[in-house]
Amino acid sequence: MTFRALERRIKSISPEASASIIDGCVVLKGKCKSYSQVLECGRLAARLHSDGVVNDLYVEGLESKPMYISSIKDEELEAKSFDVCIIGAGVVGCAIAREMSRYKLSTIVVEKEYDVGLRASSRNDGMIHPGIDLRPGQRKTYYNARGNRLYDQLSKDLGFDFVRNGSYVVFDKAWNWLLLPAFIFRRIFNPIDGIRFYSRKKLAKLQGSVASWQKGAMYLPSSGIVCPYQVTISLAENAYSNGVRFSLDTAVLGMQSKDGEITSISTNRGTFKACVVINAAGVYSDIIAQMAGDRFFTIHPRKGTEAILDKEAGYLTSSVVAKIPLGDVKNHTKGGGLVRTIDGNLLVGPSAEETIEREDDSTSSSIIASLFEKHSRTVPALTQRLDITYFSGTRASTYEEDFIVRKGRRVSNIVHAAGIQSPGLTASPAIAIDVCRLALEILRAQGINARPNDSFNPKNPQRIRPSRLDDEQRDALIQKDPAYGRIVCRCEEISEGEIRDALTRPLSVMNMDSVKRRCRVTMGRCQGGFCTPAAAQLISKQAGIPMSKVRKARGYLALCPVKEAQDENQEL
Amino acid sequence: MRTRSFDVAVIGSGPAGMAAAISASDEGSSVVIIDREGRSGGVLKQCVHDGFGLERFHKRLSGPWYAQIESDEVSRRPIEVHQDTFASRIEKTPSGFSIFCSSPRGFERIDCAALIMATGCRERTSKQIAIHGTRPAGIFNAGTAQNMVNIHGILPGRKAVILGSGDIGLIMARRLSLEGCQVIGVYEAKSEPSGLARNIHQCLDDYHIPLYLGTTVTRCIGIERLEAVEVAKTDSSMHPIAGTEQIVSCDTLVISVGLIAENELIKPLGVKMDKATSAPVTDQYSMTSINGLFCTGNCRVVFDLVDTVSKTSMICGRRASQIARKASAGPAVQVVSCTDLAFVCPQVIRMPAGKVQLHFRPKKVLRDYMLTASQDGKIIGQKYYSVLRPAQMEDIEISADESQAEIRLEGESR
Amino acid sequence: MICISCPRGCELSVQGSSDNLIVTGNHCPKGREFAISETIRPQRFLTTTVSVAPGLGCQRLAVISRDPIDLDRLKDLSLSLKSFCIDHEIELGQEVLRLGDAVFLAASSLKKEKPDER
Ligand SMILES: Cc1cc2nc3c(=O)[nH]c(=O)nc-3n(C[C@H](O)[C@H](O)[C@H](O)COP(=O)(O)OP(=O)(O)OC[C@H]3O[C@@H](n4cnc5c(N)ncnc54)[C@H](O)[C@@H]3O)c2cc1C
Ligand SMILES: Cc1cc2nc3c(=O)[nH]c(=O)nc-3n(C[C@H](O)[C@H](O)[C@H](O)COP(=O)(O)OP(=O)(O)OC[C@H]3O[C@@H](n4cnc5c(N)ncnc54)[C@H](O)[C@@H]3O)c2cc1C
Repeated sequence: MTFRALERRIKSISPEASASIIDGCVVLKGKCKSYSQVLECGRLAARLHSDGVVNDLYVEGLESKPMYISSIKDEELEAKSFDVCIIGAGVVGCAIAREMSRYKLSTIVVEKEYDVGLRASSRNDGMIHPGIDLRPGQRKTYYNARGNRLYDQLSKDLGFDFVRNGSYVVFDKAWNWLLLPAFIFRRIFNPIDGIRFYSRKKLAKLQGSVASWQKGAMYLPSSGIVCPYQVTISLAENAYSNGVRFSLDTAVLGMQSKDGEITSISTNRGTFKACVVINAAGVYSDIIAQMAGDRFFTIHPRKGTEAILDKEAGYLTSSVVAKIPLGDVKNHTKGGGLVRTIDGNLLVGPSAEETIEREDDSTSSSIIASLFEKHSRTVPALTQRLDITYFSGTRASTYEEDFIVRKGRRVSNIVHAAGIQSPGLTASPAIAIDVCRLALEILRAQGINARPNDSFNPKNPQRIRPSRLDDEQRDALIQKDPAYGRIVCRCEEISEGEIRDALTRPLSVMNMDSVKRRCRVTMGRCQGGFCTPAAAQLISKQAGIPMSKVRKARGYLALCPVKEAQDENQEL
Repeated sequence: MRTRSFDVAVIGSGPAGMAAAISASDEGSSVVIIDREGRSGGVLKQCVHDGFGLERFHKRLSGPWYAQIESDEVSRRPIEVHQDTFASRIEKTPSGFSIFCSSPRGFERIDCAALIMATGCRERTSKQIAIHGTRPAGIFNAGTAQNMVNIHGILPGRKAVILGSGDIGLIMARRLSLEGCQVIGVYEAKSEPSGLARNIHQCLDDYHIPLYLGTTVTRCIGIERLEAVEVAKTDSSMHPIAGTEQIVSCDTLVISVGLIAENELIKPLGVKMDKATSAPVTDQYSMTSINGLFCTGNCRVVFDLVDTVSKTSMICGRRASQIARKASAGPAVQVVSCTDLAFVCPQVIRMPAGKVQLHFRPKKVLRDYMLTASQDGKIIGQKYYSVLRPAQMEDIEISADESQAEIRLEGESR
Repeated sequence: MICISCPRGCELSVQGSSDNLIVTGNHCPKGREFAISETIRPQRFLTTTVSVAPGLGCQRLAVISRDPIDLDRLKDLSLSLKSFCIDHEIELGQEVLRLGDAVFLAASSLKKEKPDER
């Protein structure tokens, strides 16, 4: 498409919109009638293959909610200075932090939430994608393939759970077989390890729960599963143990620059300096780029909702059963399906909904119902009855629908790891290696030669899970430390010792949901109905705070001790 | 690994487990009780309100009082009580069952000839009834809120909305009011309250708490802590009606929307389940389809009254003791329910039975109702009810003779 | 009015003046008693918890009033009980505290924890 053609088509979508080329990027300005028009214009602009799409179109009266900023305000970081500042502690930011910790540098990670990995990185499928549906030549494809292969070693070093349980891409129409040559051809550019094709009969034998009318499947043994927040936390713990500083509850609110260089970064906890800034801010990465004066892309948030089924549904599959992602190509999802999680539950989803909200975690019953509707066509025994909970996450998609991993265009001391949508979890270890390399180059240009960190330890302290030991080992463990014998969470069988460990590991956060993500307490079928008070009490003891000061996530779990209610009542 | 052996093992020391243990011990068996918690009493420990024991002790006891009487009875007998002990896994053995338990003393195996499950029930969660919206702090199951207030002494919030008019919800409305929390109202999706009329009177009316029938909570609003909920009117199938939404400001949502029997430990053994109770099929002695495996109290069927739990569990304990000493179970006949009833428990009767109580709930309110039990066309029990309500469990006594024919229940409104 | 004497929950109605009340709808004498007291002077048992000093095995002790208490006094009484703390062993049913004419009994026992327990 030519620029002229683009201009014409934009005008025909919305007469009040206009396009221009500024510094190699397409810039869209003006007004649209609806958000879908904004999206349509943005997608058209991407077809120009410029250096990026800056979509500033707006719809009157349609405004997204402001970014969440913690109520904490102090001078913790005021006037400090660091070699490297990473913005965002998602899986990408934490993987970068760990790579940086291999060098003797002062590195800080700033994260606006109360814990690491709270946004997209804890709200996804946890699939280590084989990369079958990615187009050759994209950065997504490149990083996915490399990231996938790094997971074996990473999981050994960091002690997170990882299984290559394979995935089945089910053909629901006989003509899907005609696509075979295309897949085989693609493999030449995008090698996928061990791919196999199964006939209808073989599929029925291997995955009995798949509907008998399905026409066969492609099997991808390199596909795996992890617990995404466990990965993120493990990376962060390791980075922290190797000297990286983490500043949580810290939101970047602005940046000051001079002559194409960022001079300082302002947050709710003070303004500080950093030689290199790394943008790993997920759905806010374009806003961070803008603060730095280096915006050349636009994030259009795409929400995905998933349902979690009771372990009882685990019999449906021990792998991943996905629909062939044909109809979903334009939505840029992986088609979704049933994913057996690392803990034995089953995920159903995700959906793909364009939204103006960057961080709307709400769910709705109609979306959940449509997930079950859609996927029960592949697996008929799927039922909403076994649903124990659901969640949603938001993908940081750009109009180019590809990752951005590069130095700044106009700013000399920033590296962007932006637009990291799916399969960002898979890709993150590979992205981190490149970002680290780019950051070192920038430092070198500034005269800083980073030396290797000789005391770097790639391993994390071991995580003790009594319920996974054999009976004799478990008994011996309890004899040594009785806290591993006292079970607090009955559904997930989590002991007091494991909760204590979660509270004393590196980078622990004294709050219910943080402990939950570190040891699974309250994550089972009763969803904390029984163990919430007991777990809260352990946190209160460990942190030395009263029960009423224990937080659930961002907010307080309980509001006051019964004793104080009376005084408060009189005040009211 | 330490291994111990008993005639009868009981998992759970709530009222069901304690009553079963007492009667099994009195019948001459060696008995062990295993409980996850540090104190006996199960859920009664946190039910500090009165009204327990009216049938059994003819007194208005509070939950902890009832539990204490029972646990004092247990300690008067040669019953071993293992507290802080969690039953992690159960295996079937040629001579009975092995229970693998975790406790601060170690991981140990307890062998028994008969096993009584008395693990109670858990609550349905907000997610299971499709409450959507955001995920702030301040959303609790009623039982969790009850535990926080009565066991830990912390108040979940200052301004609460209660969803579900079951007894636990009503009792929590009163309890929170008494502790200085403002209760905005109790919302119920059905057009009839799920709790007993007396609880509406003494828990809501006494404290001027409004009850909104045919209304449900559809959405939570709030970023850090709950700020409000969206409520909506419901249609006859309990679905929210679009356009009737209203925002109610509150900092706490207490959910009391039903109980689920806890039987995850024995499902892998292949016990036969009853869809209607979502619990194992049991006979009049609370024995499941597996010989020697019993299931009593709220994990058998969710009872209204602890008195009935104790009564049925005593029968269970005695029988478990006999089965442990190789008594034969006897042939089973089916109890076939009728369409008016949500469930009937027991689902099978071992012959010869003599006089047996069948427990049931109606699906909807039935007035002027006559229920008849028959076998081979012969009437073996009949009872008249001026009114039957789903909120209230009822029973009928039958006396089953030696016939091997199934027992049929039939009813009609007159 | 609904009778709260037992789970049956009879629907009662009361007619007549205070010295000659006629109760209908009750299935037992308790119902009549309840209806009359409810009309003249509604009363309830008060159940609540009081705090317990460390070392006695739990954090709260359930208590119940020995006698019924006037309905309109329940909330104030319940809130006044919050300042109480029990610091010694208690037997089931023992009188634990007195607030004016209201006497409260322990609904469970408290025992000192053995040193090896927590
Ligand atoms: C529903 C769904 C399913 C998915 N499934 C998969 C899958 O199966 N496999 C896979 O590989 N990928 C999957 N993905 C993609 C994957 O989750 C993401 O690519 C990955 O988590 C992105 O990591 P991130 O670190 O870039 O983003 P995030 O985890 O969102 O991290 C960004 C962080 O930056 C912080 N931040 C933002 N702005 C600021 C600021 N101003 N100041 C301070 N901090 C800030 C945020 O709070 C956040 O913690 C899925 C995504 C979704 C939504
Ligand atoms: C939240 C809640 C509130 C209630 N409120 C009222 C009320 O106000 N009035 C009323 O009349 N009835 C009430 N009931 C019901 C009433 O208390 C029950 O009828 C009665 O307590 C059931 O007794 P149970 O022994 O079957 O179960 P429970 O009392 O629940 O006892 C089960 C015991 O088993 C233990 N256990 C479970 N699994 C394991 C395991 N794997 N290993 C070891 N131990 C285990 C538990 O810790 C517990 O101690 C309530 C029930 C619930 C759940």
